[in-house]
Amino acid sequence: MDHRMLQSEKLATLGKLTSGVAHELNNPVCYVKTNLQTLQHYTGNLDQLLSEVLELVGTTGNAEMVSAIKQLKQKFDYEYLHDELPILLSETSDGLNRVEEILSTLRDFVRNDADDARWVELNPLIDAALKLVHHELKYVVTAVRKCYGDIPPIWGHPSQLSQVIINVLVNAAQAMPKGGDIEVSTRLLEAENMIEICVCDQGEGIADEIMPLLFEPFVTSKPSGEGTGLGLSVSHQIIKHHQGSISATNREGGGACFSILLPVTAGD
Amino acid sequence: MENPSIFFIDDEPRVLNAVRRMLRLSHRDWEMHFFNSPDQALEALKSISPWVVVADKHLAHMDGVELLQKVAEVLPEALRILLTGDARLNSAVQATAAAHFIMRKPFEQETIENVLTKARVLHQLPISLHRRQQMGQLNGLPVLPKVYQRITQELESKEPDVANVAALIREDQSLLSKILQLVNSPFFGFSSRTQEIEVAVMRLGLETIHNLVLIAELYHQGPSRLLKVGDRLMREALLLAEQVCVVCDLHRVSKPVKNLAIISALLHNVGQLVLELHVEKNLAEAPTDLHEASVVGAYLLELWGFDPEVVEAVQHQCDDELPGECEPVSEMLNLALKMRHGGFDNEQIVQMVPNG
Ligand SMILES: Nc1ncnc2c1ncn2[C@@H]1O[C@H](COP(=O)(O)OP(=O)(O)O)[C@@H](O)[C@H]1O
Ligand SMILES: [Mg+2]
Repeated sequence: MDHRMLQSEKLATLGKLTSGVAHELNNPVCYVKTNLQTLQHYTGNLDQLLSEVLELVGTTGNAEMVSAIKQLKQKFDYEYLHDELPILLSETSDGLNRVEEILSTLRDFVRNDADDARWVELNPLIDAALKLVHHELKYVVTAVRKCYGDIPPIWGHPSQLSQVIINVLVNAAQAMPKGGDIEVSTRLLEAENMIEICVCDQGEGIADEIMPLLFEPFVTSKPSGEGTGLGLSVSHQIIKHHQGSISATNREGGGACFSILLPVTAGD
Repeated sequence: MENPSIFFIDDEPRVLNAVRRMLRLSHRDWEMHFFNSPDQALEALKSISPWVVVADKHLAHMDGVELLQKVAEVLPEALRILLTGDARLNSAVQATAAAHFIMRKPFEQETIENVLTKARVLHQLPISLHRRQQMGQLNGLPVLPKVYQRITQELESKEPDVANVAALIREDQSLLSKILQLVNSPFFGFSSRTQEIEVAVMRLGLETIHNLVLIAELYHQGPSRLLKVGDRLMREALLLAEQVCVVCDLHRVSKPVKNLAIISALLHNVGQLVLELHVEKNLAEAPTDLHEASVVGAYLLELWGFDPEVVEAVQHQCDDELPGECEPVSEMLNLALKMRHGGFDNEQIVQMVPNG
């Protein structure tokens, strides 16, 4: 068994594992989420009940009772709990939303595994990907410059490949909050018998501390809720699976360039 | 079938408990039954007839789709919902025969509540049990066109995008030309024609275009023998849309009301379409009961998520007298239909206009 086969078996196992994990987590996340919503109702009601009871005692109770209540409130830290509980619950549900988001990314990755390999025309595939992410791009990207070469079809999984393109495009847009152009080009490298896809942006460039870890899972510079740090690691897996490679460089004048190399005769 | 009731089947008991708690908060009037196994649920169906059956796709001994197929045989009138962690559209399309809806898991509270509300509305429509059972059978209803479902998805996304909707429509040249034809029809009343789908979307809004896609696709489905029926009904619908337009202008109703009235007119005979094409496949001789067809139409439009105004208008289109507190859309459609069939002329209609 040659090295490449071993590698791709490992990847297949990883894919299965991910799929299993994502599937297994789905149920617990489902009931934790639903219960958390119910809990928010419950605590809201209890809190309301308590404050109405306290109010009643305050207005109708005798002095002795009022002071007993005051002590109890202090003992159980009532004021703090009253303020803190809604915040605690809402932060918890933020966390859960994040888990849900990561799970759905993983599931997207896994489900793409399902489609069969076939001959894929990359230029139309990139066009379709551009359409799909149009609403992510439209506010920041001033122009998408396309420079497509005359390239042969390759043997691969179209939805996986379009996921890679989408990830790279979305990253490019996210790197240019102040706007800028994206350049997408394809060409045939005849000597290597490879196709190269380049996606370049005019953004901030890849941060020095991110660069060495760029394709590692969960590496992100984006605030919680915006990035999962999975996009490039998933893309890397997919491209490796197609016996290609993906790499990134920062450009002289600012901005990043992603280069994807795919063998013309890639196969499974 | 007195109290509203629901069956919920999932092999994780904690999911069932969570749903039980959630529904207890907001739907205490519902009778709820929870099952770990499909067999228990099927057994219980012998004595209980729930309005709604929700089943998880991954069950221990049986696939959720298979379970719902069995439910369709024993209790076709129940609303069937498939729960799945996989929101792939493909599985949605595959499941449409077995399930009326796909619900993503984990779900939002709101999603479940909407389904229960829908079930209640559907239940209250005056349709015979026999008809309900016919329509609830596997393949008893037309499958919603794929492009319509994809546009639905786009509209449900956080930021629906005109360009994406336009691209979806443009993928199918014949759909594109049908939509442009509808948009350029006199009843929408634009002074210039457009050949650009983006312009059409901008003029009419995403919602209306979405509806037009359904209309264009529904009436042109099926084998060529049946296309004739579709063509005839579509022609009638177009004529009524023109009529409704006249009525709306006379009554000076607002633009949104007029658009909804046009949509209602274009879909007014969808019940007839479905009854003739899908339910009673060889009914060429027996004319469909128009009142029943109207209610069946309303049933379908409610199921497919149309605006309540459109549902109400279609339901009461041929009532001699509209129930009190009707929406203006219903009045417009009802009046337009009377004009077409009852032989009022424009003169009389003008007299019926308040402060006309
Ligand atoms: N075009 C780019 N320009 C600058 N930085 C980038 C670019 N693409 C990726 N990165 C960096 O790589 C990190 C990882 O990207 P990715 O794996 O897609 O995860 P995410 O986008 O969720 O953060 C990003 O957080 C960002 O710091
Ligand atoms: Mg990313």
